[in-house]
Amino acid sequence: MAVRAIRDGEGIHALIMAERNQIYSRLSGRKRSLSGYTQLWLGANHILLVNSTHFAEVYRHFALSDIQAIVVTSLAERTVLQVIGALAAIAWTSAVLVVDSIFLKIFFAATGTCALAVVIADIVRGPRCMCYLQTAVSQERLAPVSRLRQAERFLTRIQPAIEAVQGSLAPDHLTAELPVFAKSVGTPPEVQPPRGYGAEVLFALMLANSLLVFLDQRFPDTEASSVLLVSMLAEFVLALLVLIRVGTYLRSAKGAARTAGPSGELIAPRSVLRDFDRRLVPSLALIALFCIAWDAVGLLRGVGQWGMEVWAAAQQGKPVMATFSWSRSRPEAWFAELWRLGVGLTGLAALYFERKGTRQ
Amino acid sequence: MKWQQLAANEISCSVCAFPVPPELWNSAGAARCPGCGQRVQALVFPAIRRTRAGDLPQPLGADEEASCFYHPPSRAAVPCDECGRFLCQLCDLDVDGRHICPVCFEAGLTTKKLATVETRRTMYDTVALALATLPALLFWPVIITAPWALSMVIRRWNAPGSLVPRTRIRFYLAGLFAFAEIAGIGFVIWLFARFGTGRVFTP
Repeated sequence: MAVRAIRDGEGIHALIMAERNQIYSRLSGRKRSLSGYTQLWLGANHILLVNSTHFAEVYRHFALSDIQAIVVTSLAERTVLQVIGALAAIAWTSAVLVVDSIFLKIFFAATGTCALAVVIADIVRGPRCMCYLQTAVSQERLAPVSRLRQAERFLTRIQPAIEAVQGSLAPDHLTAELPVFAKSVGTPPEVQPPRGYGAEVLFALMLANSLLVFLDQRFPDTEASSVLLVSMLAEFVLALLVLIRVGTYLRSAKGAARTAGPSGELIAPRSVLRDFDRRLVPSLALIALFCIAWDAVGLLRGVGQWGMEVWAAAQQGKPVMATFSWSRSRPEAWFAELWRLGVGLTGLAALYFERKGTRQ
Repeated sequence: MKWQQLAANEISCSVCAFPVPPELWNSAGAARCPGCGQRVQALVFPAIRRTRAGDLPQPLGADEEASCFYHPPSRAAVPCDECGRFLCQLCDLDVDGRHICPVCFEAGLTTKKLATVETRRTMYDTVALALATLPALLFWPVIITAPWALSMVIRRWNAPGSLVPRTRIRFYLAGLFAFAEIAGIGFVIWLFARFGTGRVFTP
């Protein structure tokens, strides 16, 4: 229509009018992210998935006649996380009762209330889900449909629209056609994503940090502790990343193993999991996270003690060591040094043998 | 990508990609996925009967039959709704129920005249609003960005906007801010010209 209008010389205004006549109705709310949002709209004969960066919109059209299936799967509940989040937010907000400064009172009240609101909103929105739309040649995740309640509303609206175009597929028809739909085509093995070298970097960093703690203990004047604060933070972030990365890798390996039955038959993932014994690296990363948390407690205690000493010395006019050093909390320093050495060496050795085994 | 490796007519769980058995398709309530154990609801429509293979062009049966403009050995199925050329089933592209040949489709994409297959649009109203407001935080860039934003509002007023309903409030605001900033710049210049730097800033 629009093309014909342009060709007939009616100009750009005809195109705009044609587009304005195309009524889209909203199918879902906006799923926002840092870079923009995605939203679903229902057109006359298609679904429109809008990915917006605010400055530009990218469109995916799915003709109602081409949609083969819409699959909605509920995700695991996060009740424990939500309760922990709510308690943490309440604890944060209650700091209002402890501090004297008006600025800090406002700060804790505002940030705590915001955090609590986020947790409450998450609870109110209900259970999460993941929704995929499938056509003969593509599968698209419908990110805006991320809650079961939304999914119900979405399906209630979209099912009649699709059935108006395609007709319906009654369950008894499906039963009659089961042999047609039975799996007969062997799926190719899934390509696993590369594992990367994040774990190696993490364990090497642990060894380096162990050396830094040692240096700080033996030679406090080197100010190695100031480097340690940064490198410990890097260690923490890396340990988290390695855990996430290994989780993805395990899931992918599980998926690949699932389709790798001896005669092409499908194997349930749980039976495959028993054979999958590469659990040492994530376990070490988890141990590292706990130990880093323990170090942080010791470090904070040490910094607090040092601060009190500096304050007392300043009031009495005595000279004091201007930099903080772990050498003043010897047991914590030994613990930090030894666990890093142990976990770092074990992790590097495990990774070396694992990669060697993979190559063979 | 795991989804691209599905067999034909296979429906998979959104979470674990384990195939959902046909017995669970279109079932009244949500069933459990055999792979991950999560509740899964699979709405399947008649298009599932389609295979991934497209329609093959039919060979010419006799010499007097019309042939495809682009593939002379193939039998023509439909004429292009844009240029009128005969098309075989391979060349026939269905766009909003209209039959378009690949050349007209390409032309429509290039000139952005096919709205329903358009994949990207720039939101000039948001760009203009950002130009009118964000640089104002640094003050001096508005000397350049305010006229730029105002010119964008004027030039792009009739440009195709979003495919989905969207108001023009951003254009109005961008124009308003840009005009105010330009007026402010003009006022400052007038102050300099009228009183000179010493008189303005020295009490």
